[in-house]
Amino acid sequence: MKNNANIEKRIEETLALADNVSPSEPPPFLYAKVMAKLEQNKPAVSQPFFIARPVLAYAAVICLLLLNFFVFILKSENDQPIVSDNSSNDEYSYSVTSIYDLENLKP
Amino acid sequence: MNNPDLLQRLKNGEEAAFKELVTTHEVQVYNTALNIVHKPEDANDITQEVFVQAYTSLKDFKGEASLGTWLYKITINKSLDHRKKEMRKQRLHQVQSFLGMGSRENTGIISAEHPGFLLENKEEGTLLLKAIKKLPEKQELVFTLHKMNQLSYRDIADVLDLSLPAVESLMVRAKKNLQNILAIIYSQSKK
Repeated sequence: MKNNANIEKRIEETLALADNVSPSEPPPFLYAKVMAKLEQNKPAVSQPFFIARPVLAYAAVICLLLLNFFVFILKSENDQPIVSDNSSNDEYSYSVTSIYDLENLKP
Repeated sequence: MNNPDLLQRLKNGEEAAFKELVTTHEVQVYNTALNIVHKPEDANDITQEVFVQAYTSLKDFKGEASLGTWLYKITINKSLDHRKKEMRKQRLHQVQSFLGMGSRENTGIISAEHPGFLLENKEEGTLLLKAIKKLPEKQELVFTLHKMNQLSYRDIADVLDLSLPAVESLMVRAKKNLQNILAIIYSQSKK
């Protein structure tokens, strides 16, 4: 009986300790440590938005490939000669008067 | 606990406002974490993580609760997550040591090193913390926040998203369970 009373007393004393827990001081320089962690968590180089999202990056690459393809097709169509005769050559040809021509001016 | 001016300054990205938030709430956050994880080094890490998360998620904070309540919520979540990770590690160590794979270090049960008890009460204090750890999670949180962090029932209800009668009921059950757990511990030590 006395034993039980003793245990009950100890239980009450132990439970009462919870009311008397003294608040502890956090370690110093907490703000500096938090700021350092925030700095660490920042991405090293800020990427442009279209690279940061892979879907946009892939879409941009596909667009560029399509554009290249179109330019290639158009260029190969334009490369075919439109006029096949020598008219343009004649148009731009000019007679060269050389010194020998000047000497033979006599009729 | 409410400070609308500070909140506005925080949302504007003022660094001085964030410093004020940290210095005002660091003791509260640190002690809440310490009362859950019982280890000063872990409480220190959690405190830093809490403020980092607070900084990054400030834009999502609508100001419905006070800044203090919001920080309590983050701290409790982080502390419980940390404790679960520690328990997983402990279980893994136990399995490894059983299979003879792991090192013999860190295999022991994590002892409570709570610095809030006076030297003459250290032994009884450690017993109390062990008993508190055996409570169901909600009962443990209500008892810890009320007794060790001196939060009112109203504040606990806000922090844990519970009704006032639920908090009162949890507190009654926590006390009763603690008495039973301590009775078993003391009667075993008598034998």
